[in-house]
Amino acid sequence: MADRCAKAEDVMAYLQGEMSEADSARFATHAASCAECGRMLADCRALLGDLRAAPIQGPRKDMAPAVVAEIAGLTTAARRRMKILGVAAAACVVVAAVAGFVIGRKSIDNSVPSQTVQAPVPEASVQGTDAVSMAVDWLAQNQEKDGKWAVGKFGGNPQYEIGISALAVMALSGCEPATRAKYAENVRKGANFLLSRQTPAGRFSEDLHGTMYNHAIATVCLIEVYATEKDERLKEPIRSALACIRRTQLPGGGWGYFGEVSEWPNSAVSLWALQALLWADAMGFEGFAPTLQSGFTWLAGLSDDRGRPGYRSAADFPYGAETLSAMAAFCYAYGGAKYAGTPVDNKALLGEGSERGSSPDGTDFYGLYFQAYAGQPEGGGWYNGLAKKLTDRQSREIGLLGSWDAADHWGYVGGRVYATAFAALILEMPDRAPWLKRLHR
Amino acid sequence: MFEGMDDIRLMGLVKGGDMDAFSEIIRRHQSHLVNFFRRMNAHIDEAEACAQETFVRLYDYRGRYSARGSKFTTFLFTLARHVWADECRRTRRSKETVSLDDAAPIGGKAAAGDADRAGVRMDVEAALARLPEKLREAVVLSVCEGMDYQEISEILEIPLGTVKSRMFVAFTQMRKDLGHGG
Repeated sequence: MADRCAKAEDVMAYLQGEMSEADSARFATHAASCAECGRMLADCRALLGDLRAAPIQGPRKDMAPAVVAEIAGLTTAARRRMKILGVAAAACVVVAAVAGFVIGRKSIDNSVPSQTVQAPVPEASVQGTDAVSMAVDWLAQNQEKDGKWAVGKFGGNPQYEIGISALAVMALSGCEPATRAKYAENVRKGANFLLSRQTPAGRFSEDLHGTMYNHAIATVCLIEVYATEKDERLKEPIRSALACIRRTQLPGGGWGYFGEVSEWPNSAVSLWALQALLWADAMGFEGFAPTLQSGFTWLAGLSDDRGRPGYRSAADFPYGAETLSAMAAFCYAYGGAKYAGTPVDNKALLGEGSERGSSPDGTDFYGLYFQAYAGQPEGGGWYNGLAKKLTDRQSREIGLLGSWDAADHWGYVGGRVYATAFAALILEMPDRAPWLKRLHR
Repeated sequence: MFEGMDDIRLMGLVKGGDMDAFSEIIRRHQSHLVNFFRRMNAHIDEAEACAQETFVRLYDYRGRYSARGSKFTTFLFTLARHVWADECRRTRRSKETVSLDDAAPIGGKAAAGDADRAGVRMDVEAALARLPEKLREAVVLSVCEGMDYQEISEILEIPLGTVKSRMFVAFTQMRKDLGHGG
């Protein structure tokens, strides 16, 4: 400690923007010539990036009904201590409805039903394409005037509003052509919202947690809208967004959560960035082949002998291997194979038959989306089973008709809009996958 | 209904007994509050219960909130910190230590790796969980909740310079914990 540079204590204030411009410039100049401060700066920047990237752990259910009920005197702190949230959550919904009556107001959150009465929907109508129609109807009905989806209203994290809104636009844009016209205005508004959030540097998001997720998903979305709607005004914003992805590629070939040079790359974000570049490649945006090449070379470097990419290094699977493998298989299936150094075996990546999939009960919307599309375009038994499980779980409750409860690993981040958008995209697969295949031909 | 309305205006409605406005406040802040308690090493049931208690106190103390006094989040997280202190007293939890199990990263398995791997990679989240309480709460408010040093100094009731030094010591300690420098 005795020989530590006294200025090293400024490193966090510098990294977090807590210094005046003049002090910040002085520290940057010093750190460039001081080995101790230079090392501190690099290590702390990486640590900071990692902590910022850690997922926010929200409540398992909307807390408002339970809090309002307690204030109304209908529950007690003692009952809450008995894990009322975990054990009697369903009761809380009923209690909340009573509390709403006592207080004389209705719930404002569509994600929580104020009653459990089911809409009179005939069983037969909740099958096949009807399920997609109801899903996209729910999305369209819950789009805000400015074109976004206020994911915070539906149990999601508002920091991912751009990416999740982009997924919803993809679901609306991806439904079969006869239905698509019905949602053309919603798609246009959604695209306008994304454009309104693009910075002059081309990025679709501020420096928030998960910036690169938002950015890459928004880019994929706009390319798909460009491909379907032939909307030429999207061309330059897409080009600018792609340049941003190219610019934020880390020296090794991957991407991090913030798109900053000091980050550790990870495959979860990188596979979205690669997807955006592949979509660009398919649509004739030129100049991204070297970026794709180094990205896939990086990906191969952290893949095991089955081709399964680790999260940050080979065999690093903190959340399991299935979703990352499916994302990789998806990229290989839609244009990425030509950038892989060796032939890829998507069957090996995805696993076999009914054993395939991270969530046989059909609730891991995120992983299942990639698994559904990376398999055979015609679907098959596994896909049909998945589609049935999804339609069985589609809500028929008043106010929620056609949507899905976000009851999966990422539900606390994405909420109902995320779940519904991904479920709709999965159910659109028989129409949408062949279209994507044609795009990448 | 409350689109575009800021927290200060919502709190004005809450003072008048508007429970729809209060529900909106809860929905805006519930994820960050639960996340705060989780990062303070509460398990999920405990974190949700503490967040609920914080909202109940917010309602009870709604008359004390003044938009001229401080930011709404400063007021809310000051309440949250007091709830956490009460919870630690109630459960007689040591605020300074945490078991290895408790220190496992939130939202996933501990990235321990296999025993053969040279040097077990300690997860950054686990390193955060192992920090002493005073350092951890500064890092959680700053990095996980995105607050500036001024707001943190008001919540923790410490001088601005102390926030700065706690952040530095915290990161130095995590860096050491993860095997970078000493």
